[in-house]
Amino acid sequence: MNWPFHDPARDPRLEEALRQLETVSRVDDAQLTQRIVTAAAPRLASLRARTPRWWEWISRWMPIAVPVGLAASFAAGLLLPGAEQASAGSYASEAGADSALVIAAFSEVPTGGELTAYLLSPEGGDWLLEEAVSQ
Amino acid sequence: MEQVLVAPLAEPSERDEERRLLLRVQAGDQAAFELLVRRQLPRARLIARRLMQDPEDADDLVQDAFLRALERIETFDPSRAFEPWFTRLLVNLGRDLHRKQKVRKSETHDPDALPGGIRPDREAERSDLRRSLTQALEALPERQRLVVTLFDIDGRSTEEIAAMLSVTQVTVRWHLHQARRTLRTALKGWIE
Repeated sequence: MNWPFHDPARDPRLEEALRQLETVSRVDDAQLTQRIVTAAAPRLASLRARTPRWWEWISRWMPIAVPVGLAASFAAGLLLPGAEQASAGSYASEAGADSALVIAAFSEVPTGGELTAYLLSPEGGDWLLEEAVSQ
Repeated sequence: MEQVLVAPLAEPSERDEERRLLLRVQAGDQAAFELLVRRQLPRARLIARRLMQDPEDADDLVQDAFLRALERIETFDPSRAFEPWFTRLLVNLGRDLHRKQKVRKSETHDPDALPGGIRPDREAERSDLRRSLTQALEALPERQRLVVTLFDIDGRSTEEIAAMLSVTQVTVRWHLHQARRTLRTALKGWIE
């Protein structure tokens, strides 16, 4: 079984027999091309006249619109000062109390009693808690 | 294995150029369509000629295939290769046309078969050979007929045929092997 691995040898007698059935077209390539293009003219005209459907319009503009939209929103976030201040201020005020307490507690080497006092009795904190700790 | 089993892919720049051409055709550009036809025509004619016995029928088939492709061009994804898609369309269309012609032929008379004509022996022999060969070819499955005629008449290699039909070289060799065996059996006494 040799056929899967090699092309078979040419067979002149089979070729000659098959060639006897051959007839030649009277139309050359250029003529046939012209015939096809002429026959295709109405269809080509309808393709030209066609307005794009909404999903085609969206898919055409999507690759441009998405990056432009992202860039615009990023630029707006950077350039609009009011929004930046508002968000930054509110964050600072909320996070300030806890973070100040922790920084104060670990900024120098405290004694055990001072650390407890820092954690349990912050300055300006609850007077009841201060009293309880002092006792 | 030393042979290439699959059709080589087109260069990226060629694919890109073809994609642009197809986008223009999708937009109804006549010049682009003409260029596409000119590029595909020699190959399409060769395949059609092997599918249909009559050259005029083959030309009609090529024209029908291009018009059908244009009908469906909106559904075609231009980032894919046009040639395999078009070849499939051409072969399927050819198969349908061939089937219809077979039915028509069986309803009409073959002029060679009419009795009463006085012919020299040699001419009669050639006519018989033609008839036997035509019948044997007609009896082959389309794919086998296509492969054997591309190989034995046009002198194409199995690698070229595989690239044309977008199948593996082993598949082409199998069809060729089967077709030749059938033809040789049918033509025993004529070509041996």
